[in-house]
Amino acid sequence: MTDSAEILIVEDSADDLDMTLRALTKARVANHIQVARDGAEALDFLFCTGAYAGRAIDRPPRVVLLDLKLPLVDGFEVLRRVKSDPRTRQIPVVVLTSSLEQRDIVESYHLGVNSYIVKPVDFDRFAAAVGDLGLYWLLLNQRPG
Amino acid sequence: MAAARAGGRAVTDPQPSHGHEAELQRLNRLYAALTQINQTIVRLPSRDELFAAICRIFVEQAGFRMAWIGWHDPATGRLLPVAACGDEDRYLTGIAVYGDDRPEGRGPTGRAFREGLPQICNDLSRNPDIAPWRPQLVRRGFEASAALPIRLGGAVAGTLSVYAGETGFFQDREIALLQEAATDTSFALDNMIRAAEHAAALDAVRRMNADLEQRVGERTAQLEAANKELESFSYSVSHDLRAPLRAINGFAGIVLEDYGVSLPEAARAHLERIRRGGQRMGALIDDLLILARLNRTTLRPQPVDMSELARESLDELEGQWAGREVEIRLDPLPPAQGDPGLLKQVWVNLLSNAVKYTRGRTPALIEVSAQADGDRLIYQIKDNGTGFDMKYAHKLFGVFQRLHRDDQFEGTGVGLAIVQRIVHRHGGQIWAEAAVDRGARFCFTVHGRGG
Repeated sequence: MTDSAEILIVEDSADDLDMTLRALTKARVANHIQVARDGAEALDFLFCTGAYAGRAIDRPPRVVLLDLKLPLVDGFEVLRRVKSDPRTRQIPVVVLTSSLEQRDIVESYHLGVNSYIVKPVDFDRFAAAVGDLGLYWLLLNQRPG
Repeated sequence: MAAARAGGRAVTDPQPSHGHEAELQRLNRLYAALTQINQTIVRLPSRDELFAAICRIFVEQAGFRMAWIGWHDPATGRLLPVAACGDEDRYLTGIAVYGDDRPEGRGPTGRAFREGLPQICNDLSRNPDIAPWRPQLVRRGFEASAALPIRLGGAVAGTLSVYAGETGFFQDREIALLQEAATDTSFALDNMIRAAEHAAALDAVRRMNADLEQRVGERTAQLEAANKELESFSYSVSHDLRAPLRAINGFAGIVLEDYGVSLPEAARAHLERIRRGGQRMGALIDDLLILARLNRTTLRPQPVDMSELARESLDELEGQWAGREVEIRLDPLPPAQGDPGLLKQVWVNLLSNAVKYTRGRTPALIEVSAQADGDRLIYQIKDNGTGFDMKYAHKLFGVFQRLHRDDQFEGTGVGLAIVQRIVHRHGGQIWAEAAVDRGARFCFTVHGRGG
């Protein structure tokens, strides 16, 4: 059942997805993970449309890990839609991207991103970063209600 | 009545050229002519217009029978009439006056040209030198003539000749006024040439400027296009090159993690090499991106506490000398005016080099100081490390240039290029002194530390 998820990973790269899942598993925060492979699927999930029409919008994920370069709908658009809709605005969104371009960082924060993480090339650091992310947003971060 | 009587007396004077009233009148007319000529000089921009006006003024205003200006033609030796007034029956076109010493060059005009002095003939009927032209001059009622040199750039180039209908016309003061007219004309000609040269020079400068502006415009457009291309290129590098690298690195790591124990020793070593290669390429990409970004980053200059920056940088680098004995002497540094983020990068790169190249020294010694040199500040990082051979110093700041083998001292070959670019963007200079095995000293200045 895809009714609820704690983490939504929006990632088109199979490599990065596997490594992310592995890092979350190692950090023991891999329960209830939902994966969207492009921006359109992510929006369907978050707004309970299309294939996810039966999902309840009042059960949002605890965090969205969002890549920026995505097929169909890019990460900025997903971020913009999520943060401009009162129903989804409070969902924490973490951009997890290869880009350390200043304009991407600025644009993401402008759109209301909660955190911006550059995927390290080094595997150990990547695993550590993703693991910390999972722990922080799932275990440490308090959300309203 | 008095005026009428004075006028009457002048007319009845048997020797009009010596009569006081008549001379006064002549001088008055000459003065008026000179004034007009000077006004004309100011007004007329071209030589031919000026010459024509001068001749006209001498005839109409000063009362000469004829005035003409001859211009020397070096090819024929003739003084060609380039302007004339009072030459009703085209007398001048029928004669030839020369500037050299042939019979047709011995008249007042030819002599004035040759000798560069005014030539006066107060009685044309008696002067033997005007033999070739006498019958025609007498027929026209010309009794006296004066010829004066006109100069161009100091050398005589032409003549001004005037003819009076009375003998003895040209006395000292008349001659002086005529000379003044000739001098003013020469002066005017020189000015015209200077003005023409000036105008031509101005025109050339204007054309060059216009040309330059166009070229700068074209070049700017090209550069902007190239810059855009570079920007999208480095954007792609940033996004797309790192992703497969992460996979290479990551999955090599995963194999090691998951199956390392069951792998033969050589297989593990090879996987480690894959990871190290990936890591190095990642570092290289990061450095290149920093370098590329430097050119399009806008500098945000402000007062910068250089001591603070150096200390922060050392704190960040501390992990790099773990387990080593490193002595760091950090003198108080005067503040600089610059971009704090970029200057921080300078300190980080230079200090991490010092840490890296002192590997193997016990203790390693790194000294950071500053000194004033005139109105600029020199910041200095000195170490007792491996140094380098000064004959390769010119390669030090080049991209991908390395003075050490990678198995001795790892590196991307971009760090000092980044440092140099930042220093140059701050209007400063950077240089280094070193000797093999005797340490290195890097110095840089930051221009415009301001208030």
